[in-house]
Amino acid sequence: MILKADVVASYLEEPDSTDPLVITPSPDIEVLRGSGAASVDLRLGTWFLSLRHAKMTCIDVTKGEDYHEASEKFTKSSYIPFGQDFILHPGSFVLGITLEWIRLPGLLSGFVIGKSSWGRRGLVIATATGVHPRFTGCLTLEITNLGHIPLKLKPGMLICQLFLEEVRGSASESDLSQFNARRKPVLGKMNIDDFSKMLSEEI
Amino acid sequence: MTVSQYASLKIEAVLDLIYRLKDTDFPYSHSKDALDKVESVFNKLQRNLGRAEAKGDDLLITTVCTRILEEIFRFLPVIGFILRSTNVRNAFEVHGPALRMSRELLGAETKLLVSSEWDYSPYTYRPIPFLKHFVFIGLPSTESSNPLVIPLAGHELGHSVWQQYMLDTDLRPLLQESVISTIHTNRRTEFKQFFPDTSDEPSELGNSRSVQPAIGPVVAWATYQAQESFCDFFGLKLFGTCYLHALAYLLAPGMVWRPTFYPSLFTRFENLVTAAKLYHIEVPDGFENMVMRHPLPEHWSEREKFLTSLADHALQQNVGDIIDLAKAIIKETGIQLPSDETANEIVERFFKKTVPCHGKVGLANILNAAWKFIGENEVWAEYPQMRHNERNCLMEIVLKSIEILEIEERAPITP
Repeated sequence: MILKADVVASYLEEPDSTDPLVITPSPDIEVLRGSGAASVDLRLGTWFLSLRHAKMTCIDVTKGEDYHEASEKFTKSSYIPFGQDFILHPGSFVLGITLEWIRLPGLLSGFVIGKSSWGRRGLVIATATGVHPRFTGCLTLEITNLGHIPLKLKPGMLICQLFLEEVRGSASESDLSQFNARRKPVLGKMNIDDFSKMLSEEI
Repeated sequence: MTVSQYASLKIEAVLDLIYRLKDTDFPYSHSKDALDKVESVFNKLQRNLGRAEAKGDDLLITTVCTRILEEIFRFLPVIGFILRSTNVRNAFEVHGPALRMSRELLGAETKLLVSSEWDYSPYTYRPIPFLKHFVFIGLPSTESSNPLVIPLAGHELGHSVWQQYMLDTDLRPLLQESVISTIHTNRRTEFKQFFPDTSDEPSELGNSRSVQPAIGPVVAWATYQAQESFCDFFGLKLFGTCYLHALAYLLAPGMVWRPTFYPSLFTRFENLVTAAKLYHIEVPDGFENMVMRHPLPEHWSEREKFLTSLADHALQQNVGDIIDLAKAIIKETGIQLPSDETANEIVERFFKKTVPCHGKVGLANILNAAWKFIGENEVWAEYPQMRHNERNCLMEIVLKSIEILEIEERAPITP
C-alpha cells in the first residue's frame, strides 16, 4: 500500500532508528506532513550522463558489453553546478540524478515518476523506476524531452516524485542493485540471462 | 621572417588556444575568470607589439618580443592547469566548501581553481602577476576524484597564507641567526674547511656581503623548509587528524630522494607529531614509523651535505615558533576547526547507515569521519553488492556529504 506523506514524514522523523528511511537533503517535514500527497517531490542533481551518438552504431546488449568500457566509450559525463542550466533539446535523452540521497529501510520500496507539470511541457522521467528495499544512493533518472521546445533544466529544481510502499517478506534480504551508493548517473550493466540466450540462438 | 613576425604569430597561436578553451564546459566560473585574465595579458602584449612596430623602434620591438616569449613560458602551464580544472574526473563538489574556507583565510575576493595534475605531489602556483586573488591547488590526477586527499589542500592554502602574511620577512632573520649561531658554536671547523677564505665571526656572517655566497643559500633553503613546515602545520590545524592520514597515504614510506629546500619526509612526520601533540590532535596509529629515516644522498658533495644539515638544523631550532605561528593565524581567522566528537557522530549517525551527513558539520569533520570510517568493513556486510567496492561507495557518500554542506550554505532546507 502506498504511504501517504504524513506517514513518510513519520518515517523521516526517526533517522536514528537502526534501519531508517533517509532522504538527504530532507524535504521540509511539516510541509510534507501537511501536503496530503502520496509522494515526496525530489529535485534534480548536478551530474548528467549523455550518450555519445557519434561513437556508436547501435546499442547491442546481447554482445556482452563490458560495463566500464561501455561507460567510458559511449557516454559523456557533465557537471552542471548550482546556478547553471542544462538545455534539453526536443527528442533528446539524458540520464540525470536526484539531488537527494535516498536510503530505504528493509520494509519499504518505491517507484519514481515524473511530475505532471513537467510532463505537460514535454519532459518525461522514465516510465516508473523501481527502488528496492535497502537501496541507498541517488536515483538515476531517464529524462527525455518529448515536446517541440527546448527545456531549461536547473540543478535543485523539483523534477520527479517518489512513491513509497510497504513490502512483505524478509527485511534482511538485500537489494542486489548495481546502482547502489552512487552520486552520479550510471549506464549500468545489462545482464542477458541464460533463458534469453537460448531463445536468441538460431535453429 | 622577422623576430617581430614570429612573435606576432606566437601570440596569435596563444590567443587562438584561449578562444578554443573558452568553449569548454566550465564547472565553476573561476576557471573561466582566470582564462579571461590570461587572455587580457596577451591582448595587451599584442597591442604593445603593434605600437612598437608602428614606431619602428628596434630596441622596443625586441623588448616586447622578449616579454611575449617570457609570458608564453609563464602562462602556458597556467592555461593547462585551467583546462585540467574542468576535467569531469575532478571532485567538483569540493569546490564550494573549499572556496568558502579559502575566503575565510585569504579574503572575500579569493577565487579558487582545483585541478587534476600530472604531477604526483600536490602543489600550488606561487603568486602569478595578473592573477592576484586566484588560488591554484593541483592534486595528482590519480587522486583527483578522491576526497580523502583533500586535507592536503590545506597545505597548499598554507602557501597562499604564507605569501599574504609575508612570513618570509618575519622568519628569514630568525633562521639566519640560527644558521650563524650554529656555525659559530658547533660547526666552525667544518665551515673553515669548506669556506677557508670566509670569516666565521658572527658579526661578519650576518652582515658582510662577502659571506653571503656561503650562507645565503643555506638561509634560503631553511626559509623554504620553514614555509613547507608551516604549510604542514597549517593543514594539520585546519583539518586535524585526516591531514596526517592523507599525507601518509600519499607519501609513505617516502623516498631516498630529497631536495635541499624541503625538510626530509622523516623530519616532516616527526614535526607533525610534535605539532599534533601541541594542538591536541590525535595521531593515527603507527604514523611516526610510516616513513624511513634516510641519510643525505650519497651523491651529494660533503659541502652540500654540510650546508643542508645547517638548513635542517635552523629549521629544527625554530620549529616551535612555526607551529605557534600556524595556530595563531588560523585562530585569527575564526575558521571552524574540526572536532573529534563531530567526526565520531558523523560516522555513527550517517556513514554507518550508508548515507551522507548533514547539519553544517564542516568540510574537515566530514573528511575526518571518512578516514575514521574507511576501515569499518563490517558495515558493508549488509550490502553484499558493495562488498568489493567499499572504498568507492565511501567516496560517493563523502562527496555527497560535501555537496550537501554546500547546499546548506546556499539554501538551508535540511532540518
